[in-house]
Order: sequence, then structure tokens, then C-alpha cells
Amino acid sequence: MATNKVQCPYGHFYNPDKYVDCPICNKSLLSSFNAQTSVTPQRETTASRSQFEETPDPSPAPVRNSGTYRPTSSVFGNQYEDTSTHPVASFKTVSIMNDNQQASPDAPAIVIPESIPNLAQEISQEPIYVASSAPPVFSTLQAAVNAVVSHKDTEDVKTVAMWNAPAGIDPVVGWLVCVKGEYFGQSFNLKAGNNTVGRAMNMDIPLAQEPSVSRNKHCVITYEPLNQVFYIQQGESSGLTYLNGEMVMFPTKMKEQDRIKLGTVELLLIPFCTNGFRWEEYSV
Amino acid sequence: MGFNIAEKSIIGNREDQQDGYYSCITENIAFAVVCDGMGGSSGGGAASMIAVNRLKKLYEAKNTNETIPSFFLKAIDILDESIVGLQKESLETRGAGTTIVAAAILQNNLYWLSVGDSRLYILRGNEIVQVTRDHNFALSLEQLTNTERQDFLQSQRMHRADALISFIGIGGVKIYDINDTAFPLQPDDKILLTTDGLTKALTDEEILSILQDKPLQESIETLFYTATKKTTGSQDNTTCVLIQIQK
Repeated sequence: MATNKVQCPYGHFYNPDKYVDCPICNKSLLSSFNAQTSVTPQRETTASRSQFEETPDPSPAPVRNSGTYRPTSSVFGNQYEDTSTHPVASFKTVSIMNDNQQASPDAPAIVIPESIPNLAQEISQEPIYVASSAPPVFSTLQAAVNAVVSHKDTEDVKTVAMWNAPAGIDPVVGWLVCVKGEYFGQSFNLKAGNNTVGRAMNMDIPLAQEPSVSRNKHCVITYEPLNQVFYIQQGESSGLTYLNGEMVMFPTKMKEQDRIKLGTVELLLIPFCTNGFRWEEYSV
Repeated sequence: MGFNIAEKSIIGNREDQQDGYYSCITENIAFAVVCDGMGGSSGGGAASMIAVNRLKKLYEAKNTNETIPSFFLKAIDILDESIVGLQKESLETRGAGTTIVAAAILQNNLYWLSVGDSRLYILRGNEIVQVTRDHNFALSLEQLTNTERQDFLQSQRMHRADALISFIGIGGVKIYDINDTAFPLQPDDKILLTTDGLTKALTDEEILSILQDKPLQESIETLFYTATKKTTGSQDNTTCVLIQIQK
């Protein structure tokens, strides 16, 4: 395989059977370069540095996606841009997979110099970047960054999400069981501290398919671990919260099988950490 | 070649400071690390502190024959094990974990390491580039097709876009950002290591406009001032280390 590698004008090695242009360089950069200077095949690297520099890039080069992910382009849209959320609770959604998948099979056939010079050498010698006589000149910072970015996750990012399982880092202290509404028959884990309930996906208990529930913090269920008590309080939304048929106006203590009503949804409280059960007595 | 550096860390309006950072500069070498701990009570702060100290010590004891990328790769596993150990110590530290972003500059060669959603930016002229990915749930959704995404959202309602899918303390880090090839820095380039406290408050463009053409320390103060003002009282722990390559 190594015998098939050719070098682009910028000094990158790649497999000409797989790629027409150098997959490491920005393609538009290359094509604009080729168009304006009518260079013979790229593998004959005779272009001097000045040729590159004199070739202005007429349009901003499209950038490769890798390493430049921006959350603002998330598929979630504005629904998730809740600036009040904090990633402290992020643990719940972590996953651990056992299969050791390699990086994507269609990743560019990049040849990375096998030995990167050590610290002492790097300081004493000229920095080695690519095996080319002329240092590469990139029209944009992004293109320069792309040239060195390679992701070698030992697990496919996509697989992680598809198989994401709760890591169990926030021990469950009780459950809300839906007895009326779209989530009929399902249960939701409660953790110690505040549990927000609402239609938005960033709630601790997201009831996304329930139009009658307010989007953001319809109500908050709190578990207080010292005295092992559950409380319910009205959230920040306009939607009202009922506990056993009465409107919740102040933080109110709850007991087993208390019935919570949010819009048309009804949820029962099933405590777990009461009557003496404490997670403190157990270890991983 | 030399470096200028400015750094700042604020607690914001949170109860605990869970961020940690360290930087060290000699004539030819700059090394910096920023961690954003997570996990209730004392866990997050302890995790970030351990990660920062551990990496600092590992770096100081680094074999000179070892390349930076392979050093970073090894360090991930060592740090991860340390935090998994911390989680087993008590219930308070049970949920502990931390993000990490580190940069090592040897002369003008930049190497980086990131696990989690703390970021490394490179600023040059009127450009800013986020070179590390945010290892969160949204990243994995980016790679799904529309149908897969719909199915997935239906089946997994408990997820949040900013929930991390990789961090130190996960128990076997499989998603990370390390560059094997050095990034060649130019004089006057700036490197920004930051926790999400800053990037949840300000856009890349805002960060760029603040950091452009200002003295280092002044620009970092402005950065924090603007972020805090914009979030009006909901500012998260925020830590930045800004390194500039001298002309």
C-alpha cells in the first residue's frame, strides 16, 4: 500500500487510487491553484513557495467538518439553547461501550511521519512539519488546522449515542410513574436534589410529547437526602401544578403514591430512598 | 520566539469553583492545561484539581524521547484511572469527572489534547478556529441521518444536547482530540484554552473581536467582563488561558 503513495504540492502523502486531489489540503485551495497556474500533475512537486503565495484564494475555502463542530448548528435548534442549564448533570448520559471500533474506514489515507522528533531535538532543530522542501502556505487558518487534525477515536461517536446507556452515576432515589397521558405506564428516575419537569429535552424529566405541559420547569420535584423527604414546588412556567387535586402554591412535602397533575398528565410518586434505605451504605 | 501569557478563572455565581488550570512558560516551551470538573458537592472540584496536578507532574517527569502526542495519549488513561479511583472514595465524589484541554508549544509547534467540551482556539489575524471538538451528545447526533436521529430522540428522551459523551473519569476514554502532526504557529498567533463557561456565554465572533488587537491581560479581562455582563447573573465557572506567540 505504501508504494502507491504520492506527494501533493504541499508535501502531503496520499493514495492516488483513492483520491483525485490531496485529501489533506483544502480542495478548493488546490483547484484554484491548479486553475490559475495550470500546473502539470500534482505529484510532480516543482512549485515553489512564491507560486503559492502569489495565488490569492478568490473565495473562502469550504472547510472540512472535522474538529470544527459548532453547537449552534445543532439539530436541536433553539429548543435546547437554554443558557441556564449547566453541564454538571452531564453524567447521566454517558456511555461506556466495549467494542473497539477503529476510526472510520473511509478516513483519508494520511501518512504521518513515523517518528516525531523528541523534545530535545525539536528545540535544537528546525521544526519538522511535512516532508516537503517548501513549507506549506495555507490561505486560511482553518485550512491549516484541517491539515493537522485527525480523529482516531477508538469508538465511533455515532455508536456511542445509539447505545448510550445511563452510567448510573446519579443514584436513583425514587420514580415518577405516569398513570395518564402519552407516557402511560412509563417511569422516570428521580435523583437527589432538584428534578425539573417540563416539555424541553433539557429537563431532568422531559415530557416532550405532552403539549399540555409547559416547556421549561413546569414543576420541580426535590429529594432532600438528609431527612429523606420528597418535595414538590411550582416551577417557573405559567402552567399550574396540582398535588392530589390541590394546587401547589408552596414547596409541599410528598408521600408515597401522591398524585401529581401537570396539564393533562398524571404522575405518581414512588419513593425508593426512604424507610432507611441510603445509598451511602453501598459502594460501587 | 517567546510567549506572552494571560490567565483568569472566576467562580461566576456558582457555589463551588470546579475549574482548575495550570500553565508554565520557558523560553522555548509553553504548557497549559484547563479542566472543568463536574459532579455535585466536592466531587467536581476535586476531579479537576487532581487532573491538573497529575498532568503537570506527568509532564515534568516526561521522558524526553517521548513525543507529545504519545505522552498525551498515555496521560488520558492515567488521569482517567485516577478519577475513577476518586469516584470510589465516597458518595460525594461518586459522580466526579472532568473535562481537560491541554496545549504544549515547542518553539512554534503546537500540540493539543482535549477530552470533553472545554475548547482550544487558535486566533490569527481576523480568524478564529475551534480546533477541538465538543465531545457531547450533539456531536454524536451530527453524525446520524435524519431518520436515525428521529428514532433515537424518540427512544432516548433523557438526553441533553450538551451532555458529555467523553470525559476524564468515564472509565476508558475512547473519544478524544489529539493532533499527531504539530500545528505550525506563526508570530502573533494566539492560543485560547477555555472552559464552557466562556463559550456558552460568548460566540466565537465575539471572542475574536475582543481578543483582537488588545494587550493580552486587558483583552482577557474584557472577555470575562463581557461574558459576565451578557449572562446577567447566571455565569458558570469560567477559566481561560491565553498564550500569544511573540513577534
